Amino acid sequence: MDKGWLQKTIIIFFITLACVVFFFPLLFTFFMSLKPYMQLFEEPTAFFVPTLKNYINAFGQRDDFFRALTNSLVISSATTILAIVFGSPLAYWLSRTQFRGKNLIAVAILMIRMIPMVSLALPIYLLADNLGILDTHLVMILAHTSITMPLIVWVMRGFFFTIPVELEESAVIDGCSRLRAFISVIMPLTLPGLAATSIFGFLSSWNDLGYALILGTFNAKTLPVSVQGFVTPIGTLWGEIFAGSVIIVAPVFIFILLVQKHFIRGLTMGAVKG
Amino acid sequence: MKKIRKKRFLNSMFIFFIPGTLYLLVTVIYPLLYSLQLSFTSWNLVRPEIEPSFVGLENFIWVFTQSGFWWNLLRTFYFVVLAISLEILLGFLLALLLNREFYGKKLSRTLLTLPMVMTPGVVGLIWKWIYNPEFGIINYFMSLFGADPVSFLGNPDTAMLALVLVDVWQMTSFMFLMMLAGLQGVPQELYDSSSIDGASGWQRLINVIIPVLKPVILIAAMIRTMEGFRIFDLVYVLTEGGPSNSTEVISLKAYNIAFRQFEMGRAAAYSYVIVGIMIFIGLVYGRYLQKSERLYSG
Repeated sequence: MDKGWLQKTIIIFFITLACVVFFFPLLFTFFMSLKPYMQLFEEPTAFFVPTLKNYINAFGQRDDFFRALTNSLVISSATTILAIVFGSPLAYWLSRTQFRGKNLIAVAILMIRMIPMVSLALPIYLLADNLGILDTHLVMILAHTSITMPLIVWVMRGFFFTIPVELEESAVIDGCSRLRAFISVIMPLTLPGLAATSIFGFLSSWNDLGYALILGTFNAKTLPVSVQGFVTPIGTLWGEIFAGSVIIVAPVFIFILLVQKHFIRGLTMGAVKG
Repeated sequence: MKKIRKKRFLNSMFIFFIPGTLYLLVTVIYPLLYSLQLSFTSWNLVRPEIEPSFVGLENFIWVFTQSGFWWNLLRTFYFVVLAISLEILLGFLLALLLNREFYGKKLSRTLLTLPMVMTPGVVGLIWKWIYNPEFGIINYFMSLFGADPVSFLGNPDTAMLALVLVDVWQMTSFMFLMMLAGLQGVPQELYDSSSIDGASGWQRLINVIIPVLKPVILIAAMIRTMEGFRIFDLVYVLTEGGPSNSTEVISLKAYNIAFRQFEMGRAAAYSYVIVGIMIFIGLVYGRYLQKSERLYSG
């Protein structure tokens, strides 16, 4: 009896410790973003009156950051939609076809995700330069879709496996075309999966720094690139950096909190069956 | 009759295959082939008026003999081995801790999930402050104990370890979630039967939990190893490869060749060598995975 109590306390202690360690930098960032500029460099425990000045500065000092926000929203949304439109039929095909090399194709598609950034960004940069579409939303969306689609195919494939084939068979017997059955029978059933998949798609584009750095230098600059701009040659604007960080990360957190269950299911789907 | 129907069935499946594949062919395979061709040419964008000229294997020879490739590879390897083994260990411990019912389980799982979805470029900036020798939080705590300030990122001896720590902070969440899902897949009967047999906690861990979890650990480790070998964002923001190249990992080097020296041919060759390494890792893990699954299914 006594031993069980002690064990429980130790476990709770370690869980709390882990949560504090992993959550601390996030909480810290949030507090720092509300600190008045003059107090940023004071002792971390010093009292301060919260202010939104850093946020105003982040948007105000350079119009760059606001444009980056709209760029990021446009690029990430378009990427998500495009990757799902192209990716989910492919995932469906992979989950249903009898074709022998299907597993090889599935692995090859996943490997695209693992291609080092420069290996793909360099030729895309040169080709886009030739076509005159460098530093446009278009090239960013195209590039982000290529690296996002493999992820989407992989996760969606897992969700399609969970849907019994009989459903679409009966729809086809009732006179539906396969495409029709896919759109009006299968897709609605995978809505939770689609929600999780959209998150993955959005994150993969929203969080990217490498491709954005190379392909969107000015007009198509995204948030992760723009926030690096607060590190200037004459000094680092820490207040703006913390405010900018919160702006970049907050929507992601809200998303995750909303669909956490599906997010975790999608994440572990490929690896853990059942 | 049946054959015809089967054929029609397969034909109608084909339309699902076409659009996605076509997209990847145009935006991934074609650029990769273009860069393969590029890797056999000499072309510097600083002087674009000089057309690319065919140089055979010269770029690849340059990569292996003169670019410092082996050092960069070793550094990357060091980073990956250290970071991934720490992540596996911590992730596993956390998963064991949280694989039970307790008040606040959902909240703690959420808190532990958040780091992995954060933008690496932002994570880098935040940790740059945390590590800062003058006003960073770590040095503040150390100063409470009377220690002198340490420039973690400015010292070649500690910079790589500092990078590893950030990666561990961010990506342990991933390992944890994978392993928690794996643990929840362990059938309750296995626990029950092993406790009837009088197995101690340790025996159960080694004989029941780890074998069942092995495929999950392998897959998670494979994904993380590959991501580790292509790490770019975090290094670019935190150290830019410095101080004195101590954190120059291979993908950062490839970026530098391409976009600081503008040697397009060499960069293409370099990045193809990295692709080769990635394929090699995939094959090694794939073999292990096959073996462990075969053992597992008897």
